[in-house]
Amino acid sequence: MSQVELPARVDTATRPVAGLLPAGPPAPAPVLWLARIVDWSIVLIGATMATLVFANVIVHNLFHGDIAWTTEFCELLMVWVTFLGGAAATRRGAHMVVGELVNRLPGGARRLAYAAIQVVVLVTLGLLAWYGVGIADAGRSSELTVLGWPMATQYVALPVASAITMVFVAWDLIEILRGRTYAQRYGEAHP
Amino acid sequence: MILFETFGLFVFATLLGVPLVYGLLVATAGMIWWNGLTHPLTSVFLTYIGGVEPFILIAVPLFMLAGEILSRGGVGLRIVSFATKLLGFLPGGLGIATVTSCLIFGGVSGSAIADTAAIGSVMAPAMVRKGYKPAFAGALMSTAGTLAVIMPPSIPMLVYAFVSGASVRDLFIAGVVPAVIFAVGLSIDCIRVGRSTGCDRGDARSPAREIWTAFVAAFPALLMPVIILGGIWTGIFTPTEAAAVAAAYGLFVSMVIYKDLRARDLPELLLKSFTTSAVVMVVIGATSCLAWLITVEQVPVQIAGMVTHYATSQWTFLLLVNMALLALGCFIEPVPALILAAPLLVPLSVAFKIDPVHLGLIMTCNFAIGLYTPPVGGTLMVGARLAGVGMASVVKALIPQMMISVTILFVITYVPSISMSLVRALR
Repeated sequence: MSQVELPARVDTATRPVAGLLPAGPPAPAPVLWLARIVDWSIVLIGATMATLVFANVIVHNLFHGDIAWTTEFCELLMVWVTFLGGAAATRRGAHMVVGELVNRLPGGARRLAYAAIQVVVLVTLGLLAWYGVGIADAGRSSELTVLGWPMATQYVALPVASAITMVFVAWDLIEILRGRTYAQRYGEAHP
Repeated sequence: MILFETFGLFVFATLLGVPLVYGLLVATAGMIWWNGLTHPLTSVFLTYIGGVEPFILIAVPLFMLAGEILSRGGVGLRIVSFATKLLGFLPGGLGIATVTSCLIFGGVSGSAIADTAAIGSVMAPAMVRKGYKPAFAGALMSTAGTLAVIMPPSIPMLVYAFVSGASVRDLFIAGVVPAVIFAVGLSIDCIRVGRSTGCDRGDARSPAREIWTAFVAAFPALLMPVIILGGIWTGIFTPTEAAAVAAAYGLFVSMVIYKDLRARDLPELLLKSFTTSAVVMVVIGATSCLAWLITVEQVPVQIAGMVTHYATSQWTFLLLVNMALLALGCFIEPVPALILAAPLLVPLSVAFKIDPVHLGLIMTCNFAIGLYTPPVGGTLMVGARLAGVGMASVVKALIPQMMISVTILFVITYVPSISMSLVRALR
């Protein structure tokens, strides 16, 4: 018989949960409200996408039909959920990052480096928001093939999500300048 | 050349700690400005949006959702229990059970990090209790977890299919035999360690009744890869639809059969999987911008000229490809690495008469190895954390496994029938 002791259940929850969703890092009330709107939007869009794609499998195989608009609608939702998900990931410090060099810096230099990184990110997001408005504006005159909606409904996700992400990054920059450590800002050690 | 300048700027920004997605966008926009190119930023950012939109990529968050549901629902634990009872009698049996569990769970999740975390959270402590060195346990989790990206469903293969136009179905089928060979290779190292250190010479065989009970408990999970692959192969559903079916089946197994998951857990699972997917997808979008820039600047043509100068045969071309990809994989995660390298290599592979499906498999295997090579290794970091040891000692412990994996990689590269026979038989 095997001598290995295995746990009866694996608890994979690692973060504090406020209500049905993880609370995320602390922030002033307006930032927290914005974050909750983003989080719940992701949940609703994600559930809609999963349901629609699965429903199409059922309709296709059991009723030999096809919900033609689901492909285009899911692509539209994919753009929204990706950019909003990017905002949620920014707030939780969850983007792919190589932190080995910055983490080796002494306290003051590390804080300066974190601030410089967030300034670079803010400028990039500013460009994305600025040019994204132009792209969305140009997309008002063309339509999605099946849905017939303006292309702008898809393109506007970029400036909207970029602007929201800027709020999260700006708050984080303030926290860095106040001298808060990574662990204090995100509730965990730097990855 | 603009490719090296852009890549240099990207590596510089990334090493300074700028998140990968912004490093890629800064490198692309920065190179346009630095070289005085006339490409409007509007085109660059439109490519960014277009890079995350394709229907086939919707499979990425849906497979992540399925993996998240199954990890949370305790499926990993049942797979581990079955593999341990079945294989625990062998020398190095607990290590072999770990590798087998990773292989099976890889057939469910498609993500190496999820595989390492789901199986490693159970097996790493169990291996240490058994007497394995923590560094070896961490090393095995780092290497075995990467079987998930070779064993279908595989998120990097989905992305490669999107970039290259190769069939997802063929790619998935091509991954099955190589994944099993990698698993056997890793198991051989487990036998060596189990015997040489004396920590795991093998337990007594489990009674057939216990093995049967564990098999029945794990059966709904074991059925999942069959449903996914079978559905895609028979054409019942597309790969994207297969991902939605996987998520729905995962919900049914976890909520109705195992009763490990509650409805109130779902919002958190959805948020986690779609946020994790967004992290990957924005990098795909940003890499698409960089790929667009290097394409309009005719870089693939220049690279083709350079490569054909040095590589005069299929043999030397594949050698160069493996060396370049192993090096690239040390610094970049599989998905962005694929988006960067595939547009350069696919046209060349056609010139050297290499099947794009075979090339996709070679690229995936290379980047799977890259997941546990320093300095940037996704499963390496998770494996070290799970074993509670430093990355350096894990790297030292995984050298034999890396040598085995690289040897298998070269065998798979130069003997295409290993991966392609099944594809051709099922086409």
